[in-house]
Amino acid sequence: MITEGNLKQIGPVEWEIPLSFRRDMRVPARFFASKSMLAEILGDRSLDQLVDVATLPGIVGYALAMPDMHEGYGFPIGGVAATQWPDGVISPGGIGYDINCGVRLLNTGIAQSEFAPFKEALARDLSQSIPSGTGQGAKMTLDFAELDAVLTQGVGWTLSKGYATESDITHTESGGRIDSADPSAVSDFAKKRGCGQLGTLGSGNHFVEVGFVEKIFDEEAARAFGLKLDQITILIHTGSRGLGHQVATDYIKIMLQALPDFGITLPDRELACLPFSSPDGQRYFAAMSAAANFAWANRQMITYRTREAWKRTVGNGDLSLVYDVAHNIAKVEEHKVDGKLSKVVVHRKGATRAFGKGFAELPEDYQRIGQPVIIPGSMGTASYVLVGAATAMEKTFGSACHGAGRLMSRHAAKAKQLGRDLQKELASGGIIVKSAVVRDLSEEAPYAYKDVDDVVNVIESAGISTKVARLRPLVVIKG
Amino acid sequence: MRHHTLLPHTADTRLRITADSLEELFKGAVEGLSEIIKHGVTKKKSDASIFTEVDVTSRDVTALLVDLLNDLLARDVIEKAVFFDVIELNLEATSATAKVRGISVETFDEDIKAVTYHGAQIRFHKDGTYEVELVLDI
Repeated sequence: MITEGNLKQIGPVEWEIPLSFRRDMRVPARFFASKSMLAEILGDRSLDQLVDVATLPGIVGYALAMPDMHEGYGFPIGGVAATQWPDGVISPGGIGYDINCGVRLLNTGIAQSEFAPFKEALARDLSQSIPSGTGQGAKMTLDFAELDAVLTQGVGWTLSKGYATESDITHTESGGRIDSADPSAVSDFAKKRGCGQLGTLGSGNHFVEVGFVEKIFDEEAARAFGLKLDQITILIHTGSRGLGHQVATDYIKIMLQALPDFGITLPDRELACLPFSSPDGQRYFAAMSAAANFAWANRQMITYRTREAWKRTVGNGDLSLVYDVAHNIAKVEEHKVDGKLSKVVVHRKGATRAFGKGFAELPEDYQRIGQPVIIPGSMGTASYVLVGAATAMEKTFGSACHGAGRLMSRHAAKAKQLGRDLQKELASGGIIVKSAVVRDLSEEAPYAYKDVDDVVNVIESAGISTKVARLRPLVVIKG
Repeated sequence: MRHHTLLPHTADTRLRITADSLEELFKGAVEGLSEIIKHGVTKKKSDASIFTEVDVTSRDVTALLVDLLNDLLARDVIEKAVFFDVIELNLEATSATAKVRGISVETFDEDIKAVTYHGAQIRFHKDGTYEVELVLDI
């Protein structure tokens, strides 16, 4: 286990585990945290896992972790690693099983007072019209040919079917589609798991949350993002469902078998990886891209269902998409490495891309502001909208945190409070929570997570992203 | 003899299986996984009337166990079933085949994304028992 004595403080909220800590490290490890967060971080194996990440062949700069980090498997959740392109490794464990798990924010243009009479009706409609919970299937089942079109086109497929607008595409990271997707790299098992799941929320920490803008920190950025004080917003958090899980499972197995052929030894099998340029490395990237496209289409389908529910219950408002960000993904990007601009494969596992202003991919309305960075808190606490900053490009390969970060195991959280008691407690605070399985609700209780305010303050102190707005929940549809 | 226990893990679930033979360890792991997916399912052996056959090849015996469980997990989700009762098992050093019985279900109690290899290592103890801990991504 790593202790505080192994850490070198290099800034008010920046810490380093030097290269000398373990002989197999190829780069130092760095993480972002306030002094008061250290005890929690040192309390699980997240920093040991970060050191393991620092051993990956071809890793450049630093193995990085955000303040919402916690123990995962292989990579810590909240981890970021960039490897040399094209011969450094790509690691499915550095992306996670829920490929392109991510979050999007919708803006309704309606004030809280105008929304209040419709709150209960919208909560009921959303809980009935969006399939959520374990094993709940979609309202449609795709055949393999149609599924392949989703895997190739991502949100573009939903546009062609009338489930999206052009603006939805421009306001989604990567335009809701990665070009390198190849459905033939996705197994039949994965396709069978995914063909009935498009437009489903799933379970665990996935949710649809209706909230309001409680505070504005940056008027200019808020204006650019269309956010006003007291306005009703909607967050949608889900990923690539069983299809993505199976892609990760398939390729971790393939890569584990092939490791000896490339002379790669690893401290943890879950870090299984192969050179990005190898045939299986390329096939995984093609399959991961396909799963990422599926996830974007999935969030778009839920957006469509949400818009329909809104029309039926509230009526007013056009529910425009502010932005959609991926949390679990690998991307080929250009970053400065040793002072030179180089192509790298950036792995983000529980981390959000946080590019600053002037980035060509951003929609025109955000070009002079920067990318919205959406940070959902836990059920019942605040969420944040931040904006990416240039410092993120220097310090974190353009990455920020992805949430509050888990503190307590699901088992321990459930043991602390009954789901129905939590539901009543939140209701007394004005938050309606609908869940397919109420007894599991306390797995996602606020006490199971770190304080999102602390996490976001660290990100801002480090200059990675700055605060734009804080949101408060009113209705939560828990997966 | 075989036994499984659930242990806490910050993000996920850890499953510990102990058994007095490797075959029993594999059977116990299938039961443990199935109990998480559908509580109480292993008590329904008399209702188990659907079958599936699994054939996996892996680098070593620990990977074989993880791969076999992941294969069954995928079949559970695809077929809306829980395959929990291993009625035939042929274990070699790097390959395994199994015939497993199960039941159809309407819903699952837990959505397991995958059985991970994280820290997994089958251990043989001096008292003749086998043990493994598996982290499940939930």
